[in-house]
Amino acid sequence: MNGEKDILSGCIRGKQSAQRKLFEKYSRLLLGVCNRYASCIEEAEDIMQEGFVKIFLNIKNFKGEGSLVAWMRRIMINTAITHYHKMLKHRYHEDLENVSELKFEETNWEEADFSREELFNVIHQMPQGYRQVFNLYAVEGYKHREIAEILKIDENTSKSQYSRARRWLQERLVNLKESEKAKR
Amino acid sequence: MSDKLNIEQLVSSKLGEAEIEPAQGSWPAIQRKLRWRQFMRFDPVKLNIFYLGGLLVISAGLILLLNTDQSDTGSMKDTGFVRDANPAESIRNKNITPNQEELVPEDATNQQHEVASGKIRAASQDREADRDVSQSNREPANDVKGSALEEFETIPGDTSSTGHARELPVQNTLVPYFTCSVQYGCAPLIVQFFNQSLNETSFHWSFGTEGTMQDQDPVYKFIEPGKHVVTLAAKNAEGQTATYHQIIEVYPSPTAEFEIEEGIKSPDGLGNFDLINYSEGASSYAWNLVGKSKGSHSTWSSNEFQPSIQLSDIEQGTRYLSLVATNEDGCTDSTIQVIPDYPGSFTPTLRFPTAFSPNPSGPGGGQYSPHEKRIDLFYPVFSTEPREYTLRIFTRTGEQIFETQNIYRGWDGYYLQERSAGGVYVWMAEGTWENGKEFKTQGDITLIWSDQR
Repeated sequence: MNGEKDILSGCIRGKQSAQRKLFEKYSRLLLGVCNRYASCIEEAEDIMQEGFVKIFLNIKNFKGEGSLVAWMRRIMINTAITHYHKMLKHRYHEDLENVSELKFEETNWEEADFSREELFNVIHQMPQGYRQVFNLYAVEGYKHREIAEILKIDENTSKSQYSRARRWLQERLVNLKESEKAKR
Repeated sequence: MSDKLNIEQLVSSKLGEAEIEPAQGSWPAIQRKLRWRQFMRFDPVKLNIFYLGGLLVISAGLILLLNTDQSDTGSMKDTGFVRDANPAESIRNKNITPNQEELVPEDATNQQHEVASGKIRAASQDREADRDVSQSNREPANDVKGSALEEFETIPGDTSSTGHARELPVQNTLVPYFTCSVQYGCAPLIVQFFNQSLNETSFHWSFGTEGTMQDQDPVYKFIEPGKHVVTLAAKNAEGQTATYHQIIEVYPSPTAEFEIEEGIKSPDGLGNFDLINYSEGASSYAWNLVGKSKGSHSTWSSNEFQPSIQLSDIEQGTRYLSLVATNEDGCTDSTIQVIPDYPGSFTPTLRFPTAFSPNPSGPGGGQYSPHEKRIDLFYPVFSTEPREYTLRIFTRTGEQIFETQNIYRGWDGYYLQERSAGGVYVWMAEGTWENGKEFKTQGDITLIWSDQR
């Protein structure tokens, strides 16, 4: 009864119990996805709620090609990007050029170097433009051409944004690591 | 080191599948949003905004329908009635426009009497029945009057009146209405209006120009061509106002004007008149000779723009010429003129000077050309050339010194190439006019030599 198929067909019929089950099953994972695209957990919550509404409204259009989770993730990412585009109208653009191009050396890390919370914190602080491109490319695995389409920017912009985002992140992580060392 | 990660790997592995516990209120919030969205978008199987909107529209329509139904059976019905069947007219029984009266079916007319005299009983069933009758009569009446250029509008001063329609007595309803003697015609158009409104306590007329009139049945003269909106605004004791208007169409009129001029004689010497047409705004013309007495018609008539009329066409007794000018709208104007005497046409005359002064340089033979004015010759001025003519001149002692049969030859003052003596001579002229009348006249002439004193 609690199988994914049952939940799916229940959601398609608009059953509240099935919707609840779907939410309980996937909300944590999807909030994690949203959290990467948001600048704070509250924003991530908003995006997730909006994404779930979209999922429930459109679940009858889910054709069963690919996994339901992947489909829902995509909806969340789309919602996040729509949210970002909406926000753009209300927020000042952060000066993306204001990043030092100097003293960049590739650093490699160990998984245990940072906690999840630390990483999320850094991601939240990332300038919005960087965050979208970085997430889409590094985590979701989109190509720059696809990112350009999704974000309605030039492909080269996507590439340069990405390298700057990467440098930005690198710097922050180095700083974070150093400050941690200093604390100890 | 193999377990070293670059930045992408680090983020992916740590955050790619990261799970975060949603906040407590998350699920209720999603449910709320979902219900709202479902409500806002069209779904044929669920109650949503579209159904609600539809319901609202339908109920509003029903309320409106019920309201109009009520007022229809009540007092406001009369206004609708007037438009089609004109109760005011039949009530006042003025019979100003009998044709309109005829057009209204018999039943309808009776019905109007009932409505107007307030005989409609309070029982709504009766009203319903009446309404059915009137409605069945409405259509034919409407068809007949469909062409009429009139519109009817009512502005209820008191909006609550619809709600209390049933309580209002029928005879208090304000019904502005008027008829007119004509609805269209040629400028200047004089129209008599008849106020046949019901229950009006005050009213005023406007004729599309500045100012208004308060007369009960005004007469108005429309000078300018065009469509004129005549409005009767009426007010009843309750302060209700309503207006009724009709359009009076005034067509432009032409002006007829002409002059009679002496024409150039034809080769056979017959005189004629040229008619110079100064009419404006006309497209066709009718010329006629009019006799002194009524009914005497001349055979001559013309539809030309500028005809000529022969003297021989003007019969004895005809003294007038009329012109009727007509334009495309069928509007006419006419003018009449007295035919002047054609020079010499009725009383030909010969007039001789009483003195003349010959050319002292020698005899000239006395020939002159028509219309030439000579002071060195003695000859008559004539209105028309006589058919026969003889002029003789005698000395005081009776000796004939000059004779001619040529009207265009005068005496040059010489006799046998010699100067005749200055002084008085006697002349005698006789002959026959063109019209066969004979003439014989005589007089004296004083000859003065300009170089002698």
